[in-house]
Amino acid sequence: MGARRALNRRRAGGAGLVVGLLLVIVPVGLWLTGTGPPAGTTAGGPPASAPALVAGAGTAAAGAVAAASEPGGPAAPLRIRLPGLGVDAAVVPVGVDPSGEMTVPEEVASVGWYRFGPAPGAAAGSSVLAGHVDDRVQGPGAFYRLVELQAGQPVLVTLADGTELTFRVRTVERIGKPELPVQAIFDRAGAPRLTLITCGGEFDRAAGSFRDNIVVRADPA
Amino acid sequence: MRRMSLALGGVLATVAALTIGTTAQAQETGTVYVVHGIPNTPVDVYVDGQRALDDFAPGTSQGPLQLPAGGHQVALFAADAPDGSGSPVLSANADLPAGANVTLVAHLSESGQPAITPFVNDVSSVPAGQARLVVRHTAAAPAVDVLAAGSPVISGLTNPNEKALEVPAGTVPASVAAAGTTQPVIGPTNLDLQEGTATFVHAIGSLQDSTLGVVAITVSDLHSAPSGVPSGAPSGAPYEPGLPGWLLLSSAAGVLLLGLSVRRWVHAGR
Repeated sequence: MGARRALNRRRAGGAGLVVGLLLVIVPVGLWLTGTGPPAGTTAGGPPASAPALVAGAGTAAAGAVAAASEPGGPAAPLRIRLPGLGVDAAVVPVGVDPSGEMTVPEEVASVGWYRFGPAPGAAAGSSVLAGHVDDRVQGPGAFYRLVELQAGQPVLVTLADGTELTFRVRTVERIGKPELPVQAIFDRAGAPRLTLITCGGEFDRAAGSFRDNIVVRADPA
Repeated sequence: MRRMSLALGGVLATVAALTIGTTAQAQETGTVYVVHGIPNTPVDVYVDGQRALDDFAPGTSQGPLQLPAGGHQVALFAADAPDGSGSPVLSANADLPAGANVTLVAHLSESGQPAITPFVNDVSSVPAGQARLVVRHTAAAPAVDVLAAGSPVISGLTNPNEKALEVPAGTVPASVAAAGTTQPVIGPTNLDLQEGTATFVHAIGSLQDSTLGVVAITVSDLHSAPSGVPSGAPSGAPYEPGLPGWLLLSSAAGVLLLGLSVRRWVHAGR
């Protein structure tokens, strides 16, 4: 009897050992490989904001159809690469959220293109690509290190028709959100240019947002 | 001011206006569109005694024309009339204020009489992501409702009046029905309302004669910029470099379980 009991206890102990090891190894492995848990599964973020943002993503998907059917202009952008920062991110068409601000994709690993303005490669105006800088739940975003871009570095944009466009960084600025020059950033006329935007500066915990925007202007190479 | 005393669209103006427009005298001119909504009656349009539009077809529009600001006399003659003399089908005196943007609609009244009605066009900028839709009742028909995807968005619109909406840009299946009903008398037709534009839809013709139709004019480049770019943390809190809390917690649980298991293992082995 004693022997059988000892065997059962050994088995139970072995199972605990395996589970314990898994609990240590899997999370550390996930962390090292940069894969976070699916958004919304942790207590990290306020769930209240999720439905509105999901609605925004839906609008963006609907916009893809409109963007693709735009006659005459360049095809919609699909990917952006910043070789200087090791960034290669998907681009999705986005519009305007209910508060009148540009919609930014909920998924911080992707970047939104303001589909009502010019597409990259259009004959005139500022094509705007914006991405979340980071998130507690999802981790660093595609534009996490945007502020580190240097003048002259390349920005590569791939369009839906396979065209690859090259731009060169001209300026990198940090601008307080109230002073953001939206008229110039969303200008549909003037020299053709690419504007990359994310957030930066101090995080205002009361407002739940950053105080500044990082604005990169790039010109066709 | 929505309906001006009368504005005028036409002729000699096209040439004169082009010249004036390029000499930075924009404030000395006004912008004019013309809509022909009287079925089966092609006309020649005379402005201040000069022929401006030849064989202007029903169900079509012309414009924008830049005309010198001030008073103009507009007259519509049957298209086969030899010149601008004799008695016109319709005539009106119009005062075009400098900088104004107007549409002159030749149409039937509710009772079916020919009329010219001027409308002031709202070409102010549209909020980002939106489009403006202006519906004008200029048909020989009683009050109507305008339905979008089957639901009324404008109710009880009468000849010769207009109603304006600002809606999210996109394609809207629209129809016109007698007020209080949903059975379309016009449409349904898909309206492609592009962002930053104003679309002026004129209901024309006659319900009784089954000649109802629409003439639409779209004005572009009325867009606005979004008010900002909220590109911070979507969950409301930023990324914190280092081991995330959920990971620390799970690992701590793992270490505890490991310790306990090893102890049990060792004990059981004795």
